[in-house]
Amino acid sequence: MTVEQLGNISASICIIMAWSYLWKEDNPLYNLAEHLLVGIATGYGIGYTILVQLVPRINDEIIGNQHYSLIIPAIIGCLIYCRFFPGYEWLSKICMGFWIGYGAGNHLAFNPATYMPQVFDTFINLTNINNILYFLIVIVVIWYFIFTVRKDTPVRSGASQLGRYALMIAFGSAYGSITMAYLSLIIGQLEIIFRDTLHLIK
Amino acid sequence: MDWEKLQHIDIRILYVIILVCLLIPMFKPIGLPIAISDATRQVYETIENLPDGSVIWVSHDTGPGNAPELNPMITALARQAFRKNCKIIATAFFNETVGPTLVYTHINEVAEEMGKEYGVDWINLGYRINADATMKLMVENIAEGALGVDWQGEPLDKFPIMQEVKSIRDDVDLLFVTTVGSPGYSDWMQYVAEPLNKPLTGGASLTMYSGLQHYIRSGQLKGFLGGLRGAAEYELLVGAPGKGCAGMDAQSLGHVTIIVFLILGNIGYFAAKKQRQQETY
Repeated sequence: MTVEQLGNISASICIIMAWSYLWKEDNPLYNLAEHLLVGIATGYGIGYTILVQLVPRINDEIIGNQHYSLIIPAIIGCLIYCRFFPGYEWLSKICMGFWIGYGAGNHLAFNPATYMPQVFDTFINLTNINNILYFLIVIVVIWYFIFTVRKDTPVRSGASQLGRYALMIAFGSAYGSITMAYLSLIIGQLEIIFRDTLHLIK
Repeated sequence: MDWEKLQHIDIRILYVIILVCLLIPMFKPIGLPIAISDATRQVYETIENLPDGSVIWVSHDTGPGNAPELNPMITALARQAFRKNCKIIATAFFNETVGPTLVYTHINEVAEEMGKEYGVDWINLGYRINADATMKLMVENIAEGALGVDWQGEPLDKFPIMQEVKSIRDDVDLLFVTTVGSPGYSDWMQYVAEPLNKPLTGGASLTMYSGLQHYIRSGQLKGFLGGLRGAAEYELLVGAPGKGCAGMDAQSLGHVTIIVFLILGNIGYFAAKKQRQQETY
């Protein structure tokens, strides 16, 4: 038996164990599959991170290239574990502070480049029905989310209602896509069982 | 007739019916036609219009859950890229456990078939923690972002491809990203595609399809492969029907089954409501 065959058999067994949840919730087979997944993923993740992330960083960057300045962020990063030591939990907040501050600033600095083209895309010629609909829907959906103006006239409430319908159509479309995606995933699992493992389909 | 019963069918019966409806066309394909959408055609043409020998950055940002939808895209992309003698630099920023293996397996399968060599024509850099920071480093220096090693910890210096491709800014011609969430298109756009004005294309799980329409419309995404359906269309354009096309009959029959259930459920709901009203009067 090759490693590939063994992998396919294991995958098929795990798929069936996971699917057993559909028949009866919280059964031993499903629980075993769940624990196997979490355990293997954690173990593999730790090993992979040490091999590809930590070892090259320490060996090549800090020791090899003598980039000793990297020790400072490493120490700040290690402070996160202080939350496990009573009385020193506050030190872990330094690490989180760097993380949140960097994340928020970075996001604000780089985000406009992503969103502005979409804003510019609403500046369109209203020459065909698609463009007119697109433009109107952008306006009514934004209007729907303006809560500081009373929607007490027929025009105001009607526009807000239109915005709501537009959103519902968008959510309906998203729900349809999700159903379609889940079917694709089931098909993928069935292929593993019936084609790759049992060789019953070509 | 007791319409209430229609709304309280054991869900497990529905699961079995859907399973059977998916399996039938897998055993006996119906051969339903697959129409190719404009978004898929745009992906194909974007890659086809690259000069021969270009460098394509492929990021397979997925985990095991959505792999069946996205893996066929990588296989088809590798085929189209290698046919044009393009080089591929691969990463997988979503899932450290499976992502790097998936991208390696699917590109390697095509590379072996087409006589392309690992380290010369393509390379897999795998997963790195903190995708955003890694992307930003790789824009200027790929080796620095990858910490000088490939997905299996082998030094990058020994691979000829890394002598030619030093940075995304100067050496990469196109980004092809398959994603299931974060990191996703917004990250690649923010840090790489928009600042460097690099074309970005790829595919995603269908769960994200509606949420990505604005990127396609604004031209920030050069085409889009939507789930298994998009993969099947792309395989047809590349001229190598594979796992994407194989699943399309089953998917179509699955949709029909779900639509029938939806209609029956609604008939049951309204009929039961009417029945209750009649009984009240």
